[in-house]
Amino acid sequence: MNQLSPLADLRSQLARITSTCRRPSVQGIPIGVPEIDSLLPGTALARGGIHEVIGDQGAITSFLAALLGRQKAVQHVLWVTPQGDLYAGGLSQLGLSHRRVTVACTRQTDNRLWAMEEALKDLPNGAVVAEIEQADLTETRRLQLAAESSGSIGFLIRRDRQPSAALTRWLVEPARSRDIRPTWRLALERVRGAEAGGSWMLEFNHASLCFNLVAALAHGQAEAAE
Amino acid sequence: MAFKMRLTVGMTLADAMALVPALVTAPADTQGDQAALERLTDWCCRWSPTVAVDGFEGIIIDITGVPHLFGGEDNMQDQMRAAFRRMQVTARIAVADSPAAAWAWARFGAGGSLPGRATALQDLKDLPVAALRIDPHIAETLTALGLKTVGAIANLPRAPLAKRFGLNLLNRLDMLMAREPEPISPRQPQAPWRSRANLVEPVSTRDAIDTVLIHLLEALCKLLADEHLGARQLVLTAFRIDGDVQTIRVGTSHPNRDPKHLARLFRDPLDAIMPGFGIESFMLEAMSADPFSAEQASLEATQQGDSRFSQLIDRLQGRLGTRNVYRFEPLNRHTPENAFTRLSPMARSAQEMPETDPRPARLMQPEPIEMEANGEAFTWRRIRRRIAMTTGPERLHGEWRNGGMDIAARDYFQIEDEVGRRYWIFRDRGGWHMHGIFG
Repeated sequence: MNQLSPLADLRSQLARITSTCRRPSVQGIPIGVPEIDSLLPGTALARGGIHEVIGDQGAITSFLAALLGRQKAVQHVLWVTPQGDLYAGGLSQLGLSHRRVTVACTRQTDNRLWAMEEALKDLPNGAVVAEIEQADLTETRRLQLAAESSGSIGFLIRRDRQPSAALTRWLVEPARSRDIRPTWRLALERVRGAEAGGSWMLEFNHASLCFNLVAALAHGQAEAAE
Repeated sequence: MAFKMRLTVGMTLADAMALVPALVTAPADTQGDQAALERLTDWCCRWSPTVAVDGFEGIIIDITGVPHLFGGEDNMQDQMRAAFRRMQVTARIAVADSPAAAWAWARFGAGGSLPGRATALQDLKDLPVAALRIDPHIAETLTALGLKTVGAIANLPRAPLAKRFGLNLLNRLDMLMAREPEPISPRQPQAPWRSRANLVEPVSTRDAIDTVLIHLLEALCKLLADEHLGARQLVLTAFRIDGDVQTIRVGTSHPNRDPKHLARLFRDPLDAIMPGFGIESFMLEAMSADPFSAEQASLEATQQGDSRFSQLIDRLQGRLGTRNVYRFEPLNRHTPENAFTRLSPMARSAQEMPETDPRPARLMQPEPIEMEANGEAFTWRRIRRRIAMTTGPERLHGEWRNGGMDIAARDYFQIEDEVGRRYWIFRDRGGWHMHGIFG
């Protein structure tokens, strides 16, 4: 790991330089909370890359729906899932209208990986969410390259913390709320090519479709990547 | 072999055994024979799109406008004979102006092209009356009366003939003379847009197949462009040299005539093609097509994102199945599991999302849960969850559909457990159920 990391570092720097050179105009997806966005290169979840999310499945679903729901510029959200249980009523209350969501449902992991890669190649103005569970370094690298080539953005929901080519990794867990509104504990665990991390409590404001920072649990480096 | 030993078709088993005591016999597999004939008929689509099974041992091919593709009628017949010989199928081939004449010439005549087309009777008049394909009893009666040939009958006055032997005899005679059309029922529905490739050398590699496919697609898309159409459903048929026929179907969500895009739709399904010893012919058909104007094409070019999206959907549906790629459409129903239907992603949404109380992001099949008597905790999927907060109830009634209530009345509650997980549970007469996760 230690021997590899300078190489990986160089590679990621190179990738960042080339991808930003190629597509300077592509806007990322900001979370809308300055404390968090400021830790991210470009102050947003960068396009032209994939972002990993681990944690509680229900919490991840609502968090991503809210995150993408606020981004009206994201016209198409392709949600790749092994189950057909996404519910349009709940998604739309989080801001993600039924007009913007397309579901691709398949039980086979390799089909979900394939669907995510295809979508990353062809959804430059959209976003892909894929519940993959497990993916190795090579597979994440393929996804990352597909995203870089078109400037699209993908969210890879997985179970483990295996090495990966993703730009960031997030942990999303449910958190106690004030009045049964969506509330999450969000942790930034890893940012490729940077030493950043943190953990926050966010709640969802249904009226403004925004995230409110409830309380900073542990700022700064506490949960930075290994 | 059988012929040399004086065995004939229709002979009883006892007679045959008497002639050839060492005869090896097997029960007739009529179904198998018919299936084999149908397969062979499908394979004959490589010569012409209009082919039909004819009885138990015949195939009718309508070659109108086709022979020039194979270097003329005679060359075409030679190629057919060679192909059948390769498959070890004994075949007699006849070409004539009517199916009835071809039928007669193949079975009772010399075979090959019927000479002197315009005056078919000249060549057919010496054939036995059985060549008319009439009831064998009538044929016997005619022969007994001394009317042994087609020519003998053709010269008789029609009215008495019909009275004595039935109209069918005259009909068959007219069909033989091509005075009356003889409808045939083609095996395959006819597609109006078609391109085909007859290869000099059979191909078996994927690269070669891909190359042929792109040529076929380019030709087909040109046909479609001439009519301002785009393909909705395509069928590729591969004809193997051993007589096997394989078909692949793909569909598009939007009319499309971009050869490159259509080729991509074939990419995965083509894996299923078994080339065997080689494929000698391909046929590509558009089974359905919809208007796709030039303006639409340029419009789509400007809205490139949209056409890229629809092409993505085509590829996803091609591999994952059409029903597994969908979007939601509200249905204005109270029952949560029936409140949405699944539509094709390309369908335009007409309905607004109805205003409701909070709904979960994931909805499952209702699962029974154990609610503790004091209401402090419940157990779901074997884990006890302590309830921290509750709101509700929201009462949802069933709807009258098909003469009955689809669900009993349910009282829904939003529940947050001590970890912060939020659930949507309901109580009805059957007890407590988990129905969804807010997250």
